[in-house]
Amino acid sequence: MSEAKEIDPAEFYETFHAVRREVRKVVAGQEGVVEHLLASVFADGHVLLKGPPGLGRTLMVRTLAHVLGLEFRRIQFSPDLLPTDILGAEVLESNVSTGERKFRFFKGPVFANLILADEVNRSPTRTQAALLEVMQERQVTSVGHTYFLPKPFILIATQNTLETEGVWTLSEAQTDRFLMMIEQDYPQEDEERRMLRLTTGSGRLMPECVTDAETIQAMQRLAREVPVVPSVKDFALSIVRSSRPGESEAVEASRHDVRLGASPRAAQALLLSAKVLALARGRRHVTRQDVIGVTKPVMAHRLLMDVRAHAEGRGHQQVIDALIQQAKQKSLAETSKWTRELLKI
Amino acid sequence: MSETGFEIPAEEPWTDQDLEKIGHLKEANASILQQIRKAVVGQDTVVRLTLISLFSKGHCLLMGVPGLGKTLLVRTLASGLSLKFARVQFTPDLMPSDITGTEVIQEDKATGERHFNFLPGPIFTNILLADEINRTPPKTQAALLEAMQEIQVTVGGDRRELEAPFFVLATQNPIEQEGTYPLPEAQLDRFMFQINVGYPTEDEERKILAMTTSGYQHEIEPVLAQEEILSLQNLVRKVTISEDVVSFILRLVRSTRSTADAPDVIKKWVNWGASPRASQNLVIGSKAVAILDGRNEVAMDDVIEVAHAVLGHRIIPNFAAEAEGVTSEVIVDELLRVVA
Repeated sequence: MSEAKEIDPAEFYETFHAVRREVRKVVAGQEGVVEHLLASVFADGHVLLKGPPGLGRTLMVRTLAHVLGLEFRRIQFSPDLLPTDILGAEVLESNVSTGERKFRFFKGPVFANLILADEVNRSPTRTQAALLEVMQERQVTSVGHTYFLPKPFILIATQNTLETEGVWTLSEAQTDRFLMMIEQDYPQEDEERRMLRLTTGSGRLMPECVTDAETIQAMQRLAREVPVVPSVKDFALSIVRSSRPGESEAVEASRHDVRLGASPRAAQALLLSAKVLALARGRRHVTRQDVIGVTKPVMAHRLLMDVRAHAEGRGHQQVIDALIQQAKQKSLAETSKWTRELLKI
Repeated sequence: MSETGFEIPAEEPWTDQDLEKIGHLKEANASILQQIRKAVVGQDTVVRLTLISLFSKGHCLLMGVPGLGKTLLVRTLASGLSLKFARVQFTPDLMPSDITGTEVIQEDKATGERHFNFLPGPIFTNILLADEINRTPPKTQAALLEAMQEIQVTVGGDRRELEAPFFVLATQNPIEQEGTYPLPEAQLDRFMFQINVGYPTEDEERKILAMTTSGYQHEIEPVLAQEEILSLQNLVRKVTISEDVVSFILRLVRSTRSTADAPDVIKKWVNWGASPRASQNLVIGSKAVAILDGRNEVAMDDVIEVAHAVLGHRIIPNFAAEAEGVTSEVIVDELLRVVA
């Protein structure tokens, strides 16, 4: 193997923003969505995208793949999709000159860098399980042979919020495997206006490819090395631990409205994505602001809300706000008295 | 991190050549209609909307019971435009490869060698009539919808581009039948227009009888060539649209979403509103209307002409509306009245 490429924080910053700039040539608005999506890519994590249809998800992910120099595939999930439609299958092949017959593995669409798994909730659980296993293992095993997926491998799954017949919603254990859940909503009026001008006119902006698979892997490695001071680690831990209704430090909102809080995986995800955000903001260490910046997408799908809270119109947003609030207060308590007096809190 | 460094690409300027082409299209439009009248009786709105979506590079969903002459209409349109035409009857046992094509093993007689050969499916055409799309299982529907969107198919790991122009007309039977797979909302959204095909009037039906049960033969002459259609499709995007008309479109689409300031008709009857794709299709569709009428600027009426076809299948009425028999057509009518 050749020597792994190395990259410094300045290059990370340059590349991150170059990618963002190019993607924004075709994606009007949705700054938060794009930022979180990029954070996920460089944290080497999978994403769950949620929102109504027709918001240009395919265009966004395809553009992202092009800008990152990665191979893109889209898999439309449907009730009759089978695991082999995703992974690939063994096919019998015969060699004419020797008359020998043997099985050959035909790779499925999952063998690409960036996968858009569209409407995963339309497929039965067996097919979803096949996908989730690949997500975790990054390899496909067929008849005793293991085939590795290309690196980097990022899966972006979408779930439609529209209630349709025959929907198999992913279970909590499954959604936990996604680093982030990014929620999309209809664009603001001025964003929609810009989008119309952008997509229905005769002029075109062509996003350019600004990086490659090797650099992305180097950036992913660099992100893992960003140091985190103990107080920020405690801050992240506090957010995660106080989301569990059974813990003594649980916030009031989660005691009331949350049935199941976030797993230890959440704390890992929180720190890893905060590290990427720190580098993207031109810093070499993680601050509380970076953690807060990724709390919503990291925590949103890990809080199992109570049915009553749902019925009364309280969502995870309120709980997340309360979590951040409490974590902030806790960390303030540790700072010296005169700082507090100075800040008048 | 919110900077507003958002670029809007410069529009291409109009040339005399372009204007000449538009003038030619206006005449061509009239003669296409004349050709179609030779074979098809009535259905003027259907023909008009089909042409609009063809020039907009969009695809259509035709809703109507069997036997209204949909195939005849599409076939006539194809010969009038000198385009290739194929029809696929969707059945419960249709597989994706029946549409896209398959790799088959072929033996070379001379050498005895075997190799894979690609046999293109019916999708390799210009105009595809996908008949009764709701009779086929979702995986096959997905194959068609993906090809519609991407203008390419993936078979055996190889990507194959389809020929431009590529235009799909899918028909859905509104009668509830056993073993149907209606397209879910997200898939319906991929069609630019939903066109409702109704029964002919008594006069029209009399004329149909006279035409089809006698020795009458029609000959369709091609009016536009394939290259002309392609260049006109590209011209549609150049049509000017004023900020006022864009605002009207945005008001119309955004008011379908059940927000706090939505009009009463929406709050009362609508479960789910239209996506940004609806606004895009309204802009492109009204640009195509303008160009078909020989204008290079969109008027408010152009938007209204395509509003039903764009919004009808994107507004999902709620249970109360269904119980009282309020269709999305009624809702769009009411919306146009409130917003305009």
